[in-house]
Parts: sequence; C-alpha cells; structure tokens
Amino acid sequence: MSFINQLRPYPAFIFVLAVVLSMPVAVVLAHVFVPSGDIWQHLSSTVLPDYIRNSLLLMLGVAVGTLLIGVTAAWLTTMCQFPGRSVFEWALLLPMAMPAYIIAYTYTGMLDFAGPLQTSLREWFGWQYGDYWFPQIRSLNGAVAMLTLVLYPYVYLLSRAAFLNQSICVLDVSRTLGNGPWKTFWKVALPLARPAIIAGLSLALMETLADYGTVQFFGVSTFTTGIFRTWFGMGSAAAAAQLAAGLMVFVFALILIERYSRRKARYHHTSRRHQDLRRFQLTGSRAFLAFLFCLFILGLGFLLPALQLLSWTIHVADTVIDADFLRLLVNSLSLAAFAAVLALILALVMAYAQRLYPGKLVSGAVRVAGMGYAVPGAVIAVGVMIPFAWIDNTIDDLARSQFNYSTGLLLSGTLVAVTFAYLTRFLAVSLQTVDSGLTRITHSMDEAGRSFGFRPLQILRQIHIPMLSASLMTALLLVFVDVLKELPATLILRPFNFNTLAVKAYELASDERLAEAAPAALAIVIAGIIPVILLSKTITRSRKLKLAIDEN
Amino acid sequence: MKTDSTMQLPQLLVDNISIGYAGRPVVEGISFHLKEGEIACLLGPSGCGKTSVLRAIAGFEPLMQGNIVLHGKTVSSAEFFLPPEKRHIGMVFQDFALFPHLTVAKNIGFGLQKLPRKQQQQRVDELLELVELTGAQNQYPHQLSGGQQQRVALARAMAPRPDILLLDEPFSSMDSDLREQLAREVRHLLRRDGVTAIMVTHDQHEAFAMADQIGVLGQGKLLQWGNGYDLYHRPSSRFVADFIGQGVLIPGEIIADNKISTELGIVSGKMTSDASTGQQVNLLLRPDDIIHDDNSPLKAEIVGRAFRGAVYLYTLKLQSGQQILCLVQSHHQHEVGEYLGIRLEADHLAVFSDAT
Repeated sequence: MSFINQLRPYPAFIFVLAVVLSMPVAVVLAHVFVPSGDIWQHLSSTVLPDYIRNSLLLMLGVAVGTLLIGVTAAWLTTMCQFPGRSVFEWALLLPMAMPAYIIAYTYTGMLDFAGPLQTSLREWFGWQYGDYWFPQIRSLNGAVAMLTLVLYPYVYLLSRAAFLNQSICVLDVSRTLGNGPWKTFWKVALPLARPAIIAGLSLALMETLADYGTVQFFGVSTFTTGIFRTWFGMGSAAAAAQLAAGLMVFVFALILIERYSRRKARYHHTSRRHQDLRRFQLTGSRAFLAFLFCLFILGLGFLLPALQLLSWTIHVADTVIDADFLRLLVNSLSLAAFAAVLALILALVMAYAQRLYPGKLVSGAVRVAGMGYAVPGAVIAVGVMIPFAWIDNTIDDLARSQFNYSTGLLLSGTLVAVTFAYLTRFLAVSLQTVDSGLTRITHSMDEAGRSFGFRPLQILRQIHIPMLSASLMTALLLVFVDVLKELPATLILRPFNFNTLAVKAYELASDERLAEAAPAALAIVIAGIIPVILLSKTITRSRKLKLAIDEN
Repeated sequence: MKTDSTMQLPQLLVDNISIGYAGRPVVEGISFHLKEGEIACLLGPSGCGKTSVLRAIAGFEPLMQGNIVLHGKTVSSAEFFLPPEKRHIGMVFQDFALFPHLTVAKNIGFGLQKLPRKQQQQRVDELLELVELTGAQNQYPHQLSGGQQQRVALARAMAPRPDILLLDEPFSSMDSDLREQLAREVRHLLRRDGVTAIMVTHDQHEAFAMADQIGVLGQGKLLQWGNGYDLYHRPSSRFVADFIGQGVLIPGEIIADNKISTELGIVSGKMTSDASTGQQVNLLLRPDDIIHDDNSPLKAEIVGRAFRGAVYLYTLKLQSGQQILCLVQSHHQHEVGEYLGIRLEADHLAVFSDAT
C-alpha cells in the first residue's frame, strides 16, 4: 500500500535523483571487483603500505592536536570568564575560513630557508646555510600541524555546544557531592561531552582524509595523492578507483563512528531547563594564560597566515591583479553561484518530497543522495570521470558507426562534469540546512493555514517562504563557499584551461610562486569568512534566546 | 522568628541573609532555622527569591549580608564562603540532573567515592532498597520513568548522609495529579532516615503534603513561617492570604474585641492580629467559612458555580455587589441566578487594615 503510494511521479523522481547522485560512489566501490592487472599488484607491493601508514599517522596526529586545542578552547570560552572571552568565542572559528592547502603554502613561505623567519635568524646570529637546525615544515609533522590548525574548529564547535547544553545542575550536583571544579570537569563534564567531541573529531578526520592540497604540497604520500598519481601518472582509471575504494573504507569507518556518537549524544542530553551559566572567574596569571592560549591558537590558525597573505597580495597587486585575475574571479564566483543555486533547488525538491511523502522509502532515497558529504573530492572526481568517459565513448562510437561523425567529448572535461561532482559532494550541506528550516514549520501550521481557507500555494507563499528564507540563504552561502574552496575534484574534472581561484592558487604555489598565489588565496579566505559569521551569529542568537528564557 | 525553643542547636540557621546580583538585592533579611530531622518548605510565586535562598545554603550564591550556619559551622557570610563541595549537603534538582553516562548504581554511588569499595556497595544497595529500585541498578537514567529518575536523584543526594538535604522544585516536572502523592512518599522516606530537609516549591499542596514548617516568600522577603494550618487560617499579611488557598476580603468595622460588623452581619471569632475598636478593616473569608443554610435569612445571588466533585464552589453576590465564595456539597443543586441562604461561621478572623 505505502509502496504503491510512493510510486507516484514526484517520489519516483526522488529515487532517480538518488540513483544518479550516488553513482560516483557506487562506481568507485564497484571497481573493487574490476581487474586492473599488474598496476594493483605493483601498487600494493610498493606504495600502498606507505599510503596507509601516512594516512593513519596523519589522522592520529590531527586527532591528538584537534582534541587538545578544540576541547580546551571550548571549555575555556564556555565555562570560564577571562578578558577577551566573548571575542574569542566566535573568533576561534575563523581558522575554518582557511583551507588547509592555503595555510600550508603560507607557512611554507614564512618558514622556508628563504622565508622571513629564517632570514632574520641568520641575520641576527650571523649563521650560514647548514649552521643550524630548523624544523622542516614540508613533512608529515608539518602537515599534521597545518591540518590541526584549521580543523580544530570542528571539535571546538561541537564540544562547545555540548558544554553549553549540559545542564549546569549536573555540574552543581557533582559539587554538592564533594567534587571540586577540576574533578567535576574530568568526572562529569568531559564524559558527558564525549559523544559530541567524538562526532566533531570524526568530521575533522574526514576532512583530513579528503585533503589533497596540503599533503601533495608537503610531499606526503597518502590515498588522495596516490589517486592522482595513478590516474594521471599511470593512466589507470581502475587502479585509481580501487585506491579510492580503499580510502572509502576509512571514511565509512568514520561515518559509522560519527553516527553512533550522535545517537549516543541524544541519551547524554540532560535537560532543557538551564540555569544561567555562571562561569568560573579566572584571575591573575590564570586569566592571562587562558587569554594567551586562545590568542596563540587564533594567531597561528588565522591572524598570522591571513596577514602574510595580505602583505603578499599588496606586494604583488600591480602585476597579478589584471584582466586575467578578474576573469578568474568571475569564473570561480559564477561557477560557485550556479552550483549553489542548483544544489538549493535539488535540496528543496528533496526536502518537500520527504515532507509530502513521509515514509522510509523517500527518506532513505534522500539520505543516499546526501551521502556524498563525507566522500573526498578526489574519490568523487574518479567516480564521475569513469562513467562520463564511458558515456562519451559510447555516444561517439554510435555516432561514428551510424553517421560517420565524431561527437568527441560531450560530458567529461566540461563544466557539466564539474558541476555534477559539486552536487554529489555538497548537496548534503544544503539539504541539511533546508531540512532543518522546514522542520520548524510544523504540520499544524499548514493545517492552521488550511483552516483559514488558504490554498496550498498560498500557504507556500505566506507561511513557508517567509519562514524558510533565512535557511535558504544560508544553504546558498554554505555551498557557494564550499565550491569556491574545493580543490581536488575541480583539478581533475575542469575543462582544459578553465581555472578557478582554488586551482590557480594551488598551481602557482606548486610552482613555488607563493606570493603570486596570494591574491587568489586571500579571495578564498575572505569568502570563507562568510560561513564563520553565519555560525557565530547562531551562537550569539542561541545565547540571547537562552537569556530570554532565563529571564522568564 | 529566632526564638530558640529547644536546648538543641539548630541543624541549619539562616540569619538575616541578603542575596543579590550586581548590587541589586533579590532576597533581603531572611531568617529561619531548622532542627535536626525537621522538614521545611520555602513557598512562593516564581521570582520571589526562594531558589536563591536554597542555592545560597548549597553554596552556589554568595551572601551580601547575614550568616548561614550549618551543623554548628558558619558556611556563608558576607566575608566568608565555603565552596559547595565542602559543605556536606545533598541537593535534588528540578530536572533531577542525573548523570546520563552512569548507571543507576553509579549515580547513587557518585558521592561515596571516598569510602572503601565494600562500604560504597553496601550503602548503594541500602538506598536502592529504600527507594525501591533494587533490580534497576544497572539501567541508565534514560531507561527510567520520571518517577524512578526522581527517586534515583533523591537516593544519590541522600547517599553520603548529608547534614541537610536541599530539594529544588523536585516535583515540578511530574504530572500534577502525581505531585502530592510523591511529596508524601518522599516525606515518608526522609522521615525514615531522619533527614533534615528544605524544599522549594510554588505549589502549596506539595508544601502541605511534605513539610513540617512552611516559609512563605514574597518579593524577596520571608512573610510568614509556620505550619499549613496557620498559613491558611491565620495569614499574617494580605499576600499570604491571597497566595494560600482561596478567599475574598470583605470590608468591615471592628465593634468590639473579636467582633466585626460586616455586610453579612456581626461575626465573632478569634482575631489573628491586633486591631482597635472602631477601625475599618478587611476580613478574610475562606469558602469554608460560608455555610449553606436554607433557613438562614441571609440570601445571596448565585453568579457562578464550579463543580469540584464532592462540592460545588459557588460565587455569590451580596447586595452591595461584593462577591464571596462558598463551598456546598454537590448533591445540593442550585442554578445561577437563584438565591442561596448562607450563614457565616469563622473560628479565626484574619483582618487586614487597608495599609497591609
């Protein structure tokens, strides 16, 4: 009965969408069974152990780093009072605006042999080359440091939310039962926040696995660099897809951990009634240390690299910012805007399908369509490239045999392929935003509208659109910025000679033309600040709301 | 209120305390004391400062003025402040605040960690039995019903045998028809263990069911301290008269000691406050002070009635337009608009001059 119900055109369309959008991942996974001959043999006996080892070490390092920084920062800014706290509360999110590959090459420029730091050291102390030891930034440890600096906000954000949601009463209970503040943190606050912290950590680690720019630039071989090398260097699509499938095993493990933690976090929810947060007042040296810690993190993760980019940009502005750069800017912005609008339309179609046809089948299809968020861009690129090339070849063969005419490449190497990859990867972002906006419009609101004699379209116009507009705007912006920052998928799929800001910045940096890469990088960072502002707004809004509740 | 009638030192002495935020006092000059094993209740509307008093005793709010002495030891004063973990108190919170990541047994044993393991286990078992949750010790809080969660919260607070147990609106998240019954059950438990306790609530029925002594708070001040009977029949102020039970104030004149002339005739009874003859006052009439009597020459028009099961609560209008309330057994049916014969029968005359 319900199945027949769901076979109407609209839900059927959702199923088709889900199948199409899940194709890249399906193709990659299916390639596990496609023989790739000697190449796989060769890979697994030579570089594969390296990929696995490096990916694991990278994850381990980033995990330790983001946990230490993220949880400490969240605890300080939510539970303690010290000078600058309210600014740090949102400013500590700023490193999110900094894509890892950009911070990586910025620090390379600052810390390299010819960079300002080593140059000044040599000048001050009169050292020569080889006289002193300086840590090598282009290394596995360097990559860990870079990724940690820009990914800790995931842990910060989720553990902060967890600390805020903990009923203060739970902490008070611990105090009345004889535990001091410090012991209360270890025995109650931290264990309670653990699911949220782990969820944040898995997000940070997914980003770590998806990273291509940083590890490539630092010469660390991981799955993503391996996919590129196999694809372009050895020309083996099948082997690249198999590497991608290997990477997906790690990703799936993280998704499972994240899902499980979120489910558990629901049980760890304590109460909806909150006492006003009474923060521990830090004084003297403790307040100073807290301030210093936050400033240090913010400085390393955002202020310093942003200033460096700015100074490079000013330095090279005359030569680099020209008509070509403007075209680059227009290319990037219009592509990102186009993808964002498309993603929003698809998200609306899916969210409404879920609302109008509640049931496991439709919501399952929607979930499948939105699963690309965790899939690294390099994997999606491979998963898009293989079927598109097959379609192109098939059509070309057909045209040649029937009409003696070559159609050439219709899909692969075009903007269609790039846009499709963006959609599979970022649809989840807009879907989530639209969905959370839509759930705020309860069914009884619709019914209230109907009871006033409104027709469905009037309800849409007078109730839904006004209530949704903020969410729609957010969804657009988030996807826009994500597309702007995306590197590996664009790098593989873009049409010949078509450049975006991200690709250009990456290419120039790879050629060691660090300063010239700065304007494009800075443009990406500035765009990246938009979602940070949105996030910090929700932070202040939720706090105001809570205060309003407390006043009553 | 500070008259110590017993030889015994009070378990809790709250002496003229004031609490405030940013220099603005929310609670001013409150004093009371509790003997060991006594159960008290702070009752008042929301925003009256009752929770602040409780949190000050717990050590979560500093004092602007006054002292709090617990078990012979000053724990709070304007200059001194003992942190909550050193006060040896137990607290039950409005939302229970159970630790969701710990089992029932671990929750109850949370405050016992300094004891040897064997004694911990023994005490936890004891409390599980006391709150009738034996068998649920390995469950997690989210698997329990609201009432069970509350009993865990109570057991957890009682486990370290605190000098005093503080309960912050412990029944407010329960169904309203369960609250009184739960309050009686909790009272029974506390009595069995001889626990000294203070509860905070805005629900007078909870307070009556639970407490030996009740303090009524209004606008940051302690207005009256006494048992339920006194608060109902001998309210010391209009605020208390209004807040506790139902009733109306009707104007009258004192014509002699314990005699007041009102629109309902001359009433005599024991006056609860001093007032001189000839003074114009307002007399508190509870619905149970007005007796339905068909033979009475005094009649009043029925303007409203509410069915309360065993009784009807009638709203009656006197000739002057003054309205009064009257409880009549529900097998006497009278329609709105009819006239009801009534007579006044009050033991206690609670009178207030216009100023109070």
